[in-house]
Amino acid sequence: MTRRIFIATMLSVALTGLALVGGAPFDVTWDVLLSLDPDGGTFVDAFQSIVEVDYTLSGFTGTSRSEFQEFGFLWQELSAVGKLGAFDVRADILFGPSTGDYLYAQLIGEMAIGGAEIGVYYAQLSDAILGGAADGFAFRLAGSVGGLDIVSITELGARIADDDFDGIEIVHTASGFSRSYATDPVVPGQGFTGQKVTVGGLSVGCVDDVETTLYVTCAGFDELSFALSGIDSGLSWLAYDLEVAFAVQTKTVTVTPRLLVAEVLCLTPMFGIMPASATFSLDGIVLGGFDLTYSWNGVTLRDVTVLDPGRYVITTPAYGSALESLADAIDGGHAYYADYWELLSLLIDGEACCGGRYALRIDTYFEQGAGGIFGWGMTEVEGTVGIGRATELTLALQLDAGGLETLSIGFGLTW
Amino acid sequence: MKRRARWATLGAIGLGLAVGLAGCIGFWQTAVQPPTLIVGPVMVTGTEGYVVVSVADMPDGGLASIQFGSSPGNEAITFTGIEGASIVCEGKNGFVVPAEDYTTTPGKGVLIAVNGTTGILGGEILRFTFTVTPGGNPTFTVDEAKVTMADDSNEFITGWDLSDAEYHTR
Repeated sequence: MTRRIFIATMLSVALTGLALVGGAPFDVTWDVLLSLDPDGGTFVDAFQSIVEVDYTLSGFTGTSRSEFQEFGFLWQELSAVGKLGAFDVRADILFGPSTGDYLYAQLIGEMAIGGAEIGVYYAQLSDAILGGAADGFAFRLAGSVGGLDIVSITELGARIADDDFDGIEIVHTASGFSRSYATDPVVPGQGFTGQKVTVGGLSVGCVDDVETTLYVTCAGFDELSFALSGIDSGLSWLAYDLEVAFAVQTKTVTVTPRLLVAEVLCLTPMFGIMPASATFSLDGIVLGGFDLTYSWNGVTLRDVTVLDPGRYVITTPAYGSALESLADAIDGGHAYYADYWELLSLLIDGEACCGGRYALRIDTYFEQGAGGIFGWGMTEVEGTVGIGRATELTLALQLDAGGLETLSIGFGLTW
Repeated sequence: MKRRARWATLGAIGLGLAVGLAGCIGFWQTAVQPPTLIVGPVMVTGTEGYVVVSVADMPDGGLASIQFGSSPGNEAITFTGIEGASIVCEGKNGFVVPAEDYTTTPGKGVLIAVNGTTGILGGEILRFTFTVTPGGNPTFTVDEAKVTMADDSNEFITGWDLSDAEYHTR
């Protein structure tokens, strides 16, 4: 374990060193953000530094990504992407330098031949992670037969990301920071653990798409599901999705009504349907909120209003400041503001000196029950200036009723 | 070429299915990871600190409510080197904290957190932030015996583990 850490550290240091002395095939990006908390007991609130070094040779690109947070060296990731014969190959390996642990590795080979896609996936999880050690393979085969799309995934100790499964997310418990990958090894050893076959693309009469999925595991039959998308209700403004899933002891029927609403210029309403207490009946239609956006000559004005707080939320800027149902935000792992019901945003974007760009974002949030004027809750201001194409400076601040909450300064360098 | 690819696709899928169905006989058993409550270490920057509480491998239906102790006097949380009055607990992933107390019994904390939107199979559920006592060595521990969890059908979650693992998955 220590040897792997040592080799990874030496490799990343060597790549960074070679990049610094100007080796031609290297691309380096270095992003730093320092957040200060003038009012709090801690002057330095957060610090982040990410150094990424790319090295391209003979069609392969090797990448070293080193991430530092205020508490230390969090992630060291090495990856390689390229072609090996007919295969597109990807390899990733992850270390946790702050604890001196090797954490995870995956190897993916994919090729397309005669309209069929073949993929081989291998991953290993170290015993430094809760649930490890584990390792396993998965094989994916996809193709079209007679207009039907067929996907087969054979799991020999590993699952891979698809429409129903997000892959693996490795979380640093103390901080909550995480890294995500496609291949999730679930057991030690490579015995058979699951087989999933999905047949889709069938369109019949009033249904846009019919998809069937059969999933069996080493414990036996797991699930058989039939998903029908876009069932025509006969009403121009209403369609249904229907999913029937059979498990060993249960049968689940999920009916999802969808409102078909035409786009109204720059206003995007978010309608939802309220289910009644009785199964398969509707109580009414609720307008959860709306997103009003207008852009003109590099200036974008935006108003996002939540009309049904508790069921709808505004996501953080990192997730697009979008209006989402709370259930979708949780399901998608999107960070959101629980207390703000309105966002007023001004974004100015333009060309700066020497090929760089500048951007200024002013976001003002209004809070339920806040005592400030108009229920003002918080304002975030972020300015970014590109000096040429290789340098970018960032200055950001966050104000709330208590005063200046954080002041952040950062830079990004590319060479 | 196209016809051969079709037959190859069908053949490989058939073979995969046969292997899969053979697996139903139970030649290999998947290791079962029990539901786990994960309490992170105290992270300190200057005079402020935080603790992240997460869950992993919750059963179908997911975690929908959690109780750390039943009332003041029967707290599940014990802390040292932390100013109790400064503790703020923020719910994550849909969790809200309707009741909490960190001052009635010095060095002890009790709270209940619920998620009215959905059950959580894995992920962060609570984040405690606080001021650390000058010169103190802050600690934050949870008494497993005084914690109860329930899923979104209001059924108690049993057979769970308490972990302080440095990394986990979701």
